[in-house]
Amino acid sequence: MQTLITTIVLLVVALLMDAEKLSAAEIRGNVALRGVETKAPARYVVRGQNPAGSGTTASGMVAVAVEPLDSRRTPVVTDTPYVMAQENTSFAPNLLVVPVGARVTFPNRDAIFHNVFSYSPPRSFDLGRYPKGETRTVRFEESGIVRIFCEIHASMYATILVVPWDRYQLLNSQDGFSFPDLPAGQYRVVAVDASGRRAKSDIDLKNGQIINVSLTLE
Amino acid sequence: MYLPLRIKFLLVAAGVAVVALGSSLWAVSYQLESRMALQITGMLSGAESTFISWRNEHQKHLVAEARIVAHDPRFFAAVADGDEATAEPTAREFQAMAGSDLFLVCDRRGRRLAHLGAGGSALTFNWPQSVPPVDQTMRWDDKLFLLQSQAVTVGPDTVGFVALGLRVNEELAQTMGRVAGADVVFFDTKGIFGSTLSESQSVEYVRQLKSTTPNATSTVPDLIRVGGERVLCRMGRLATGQEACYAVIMSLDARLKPQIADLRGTVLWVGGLALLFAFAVSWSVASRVTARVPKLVAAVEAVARGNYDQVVSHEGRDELRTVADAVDRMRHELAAQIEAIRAANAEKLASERLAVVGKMSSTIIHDFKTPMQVIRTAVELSSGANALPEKREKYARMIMRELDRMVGMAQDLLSFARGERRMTRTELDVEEFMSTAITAWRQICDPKGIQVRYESPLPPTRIAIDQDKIRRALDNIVINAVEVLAPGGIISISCRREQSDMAIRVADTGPGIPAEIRSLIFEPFATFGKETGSGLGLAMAKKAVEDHGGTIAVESEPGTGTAFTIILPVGPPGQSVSLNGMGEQHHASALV
Repeated sequence: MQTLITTIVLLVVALLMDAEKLSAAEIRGNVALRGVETKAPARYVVRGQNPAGSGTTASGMVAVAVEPLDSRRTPVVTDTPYVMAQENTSFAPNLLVVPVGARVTFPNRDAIFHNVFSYSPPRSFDLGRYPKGETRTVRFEESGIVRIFCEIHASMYATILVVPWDRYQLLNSQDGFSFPDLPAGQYRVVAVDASGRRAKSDIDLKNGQIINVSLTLE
Repeated sequence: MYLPLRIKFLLVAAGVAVVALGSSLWAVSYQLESRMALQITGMLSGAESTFISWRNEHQKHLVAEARIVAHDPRFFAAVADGDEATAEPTAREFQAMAGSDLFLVCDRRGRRLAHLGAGGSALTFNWPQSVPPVDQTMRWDDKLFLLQSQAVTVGPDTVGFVALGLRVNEELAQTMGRVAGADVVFFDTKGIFGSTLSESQSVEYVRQLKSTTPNATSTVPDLIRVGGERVLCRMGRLATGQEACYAVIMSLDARLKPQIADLRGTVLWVGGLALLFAFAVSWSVASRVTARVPKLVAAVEAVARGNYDQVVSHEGRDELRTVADAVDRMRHELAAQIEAIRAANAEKLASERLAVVGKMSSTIIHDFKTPMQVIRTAVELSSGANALPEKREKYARMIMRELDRMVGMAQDLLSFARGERRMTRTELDVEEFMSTAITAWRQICDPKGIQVRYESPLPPTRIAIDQDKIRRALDNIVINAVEVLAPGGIISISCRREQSDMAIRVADTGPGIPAEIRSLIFEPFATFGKETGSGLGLAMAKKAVEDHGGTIAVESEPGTGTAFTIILPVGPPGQSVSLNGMGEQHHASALV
């Protein structure tokens, strides 16, 4: 265990030195729920993204994304659609991060009808009722938080975070996040969980700067 | 003041009836009032219970509606984003479904997303985030709402609140009033929101009610007075701990007065009939009783007149009967007593007469001695050899005169002793009768130097009298005067007419009669200051005059003289009365 921690610390130090060498800035931080104590920021960085199946149904998952405010970067959109299924009268996964322009399919895997809909301003839709085995697909053209519900089952809810950029992470709310190698500029860090609680923070990031952000979901 | 028994009975009956009527009316009114008050209290409690349960039903309905709304995915989906543009149309849809007066939606921070039904100004509503306001009243501008709210959640997350409100207004008051069957007022410290009463009434009631604190634990309603009217009132909070109150009101007087008036009418009707009945009964009873009174009075008056034979009627069975019986017993006893007194009197009279005769005997014998002596002397003288014939005649006349005198005396005595009254009236001329008498008296008086004056201003008058008796009565009076008068004395005789009477007055200038014996001079055998005389003179005179229906009176002033006045009624001519029916031929045959 001690060996592992030492290894991690060394790794982090090495990374920091490397980043400094590249003169790239970094945003790191943690997400807390109001009223829930959070741990100290983690010392490791989650890199890269999970294009397919980057969702989770586990509670306590948080989606965090960094959006540039000064310039628009088109995210990489894969042809493979994202999937948000209806299983056991729930959405699976119930938290999904997709890039702008991505498609999400909503297959019904339950033996009962579902009616997936959303009133959220970035993408308002109503897929109507459909039985098991059928699916509907929605393309998300605007970034933002889209809250998904089933018109028939009040207990079903999910959130899709539509991001304009490819820097996002899905993490356990107890864990910290880190977005290294960011060019200097103005950013907005957005965090959301499955039930739609959200937090945001605008950051002016300078070259070589490392900013720690604490977000509290509300 | 004479007040017939009948009227008294009537007045008493009327008085009793009025008092009974009044007191019973009061008692019944009082009873009714307390019972009604109790009943109305019960009714009011019932009304309040109805009101409260009705209000609770409304609140439950609101709660249920709020819950349904909050759990509808389409609703919480609209709220979840915290976006007004999204929430507003959905809220409108849901309000139409819930049918509530107020529909209020806020996001998790209490920021208003939609408000429907309140209109008017923007709602400044500080919704606490931690404690959702459930079951409360809320004022919005001049509007009051009964509010039920519900948190809107998505999974573990509260995304907002929805509140459904029932407008507390005139309409609600009217409806609740109808349901409760009482008047209902909604108010708080600032104003009145709804009332089934008129505005002025409401204001007055609320003014009164504000002085009392709502007391939910009290089971007794407050009794307040509004404009002189007694009103029972229950008040309480519209929602727990809130300022707005309701009051359920019932007017005691409004409910009581018609009942009391009804009762009063009935009692007065019945009482009036009872009064009439009492009048009739008392009148008839009194009439029955008093009808016997004149009979009783007649019986008593008959007794008073000396008629002891009239039987007093024995009617009825009451006090009057007792009186009648007593009067009848009195009548019997009086009759018996009077009979006894009469018998005793007759006996006494007889014995008295005998006693008087005995007492008289010596006097009479003495009186008889003188004429007998005269007769004896006259007989001796006339039987003498040398008696002259004219002398003998003279003696014979003397004897006759003395015998007549003795017969007269004997007759008087006999009459008196027997108590008989024999009278023979003859009509005669008063003047003639008097002049004869005056002549005779002057013959007696002249030799003694006594003057007899006669005065008669009388018109020619005829009178029916027993002239012997009246003459003898006058003789007695004049002789008495002659006996007391000294020479030079005067006897004045006068006759006057006084209406239907004739008065003969004989006055002398003698020494008079002392006051102490003046009342006794008409008693038999009362001789005062006289040597001679039977003592019967004035008694006889009185008797003679009274036998004629007249009176005799004496006035005397010692030292000045005495005056006798005989008053005789001037009877119709030719009347002859014999009271005892004794014949003229009845003379004293024997005395001693």
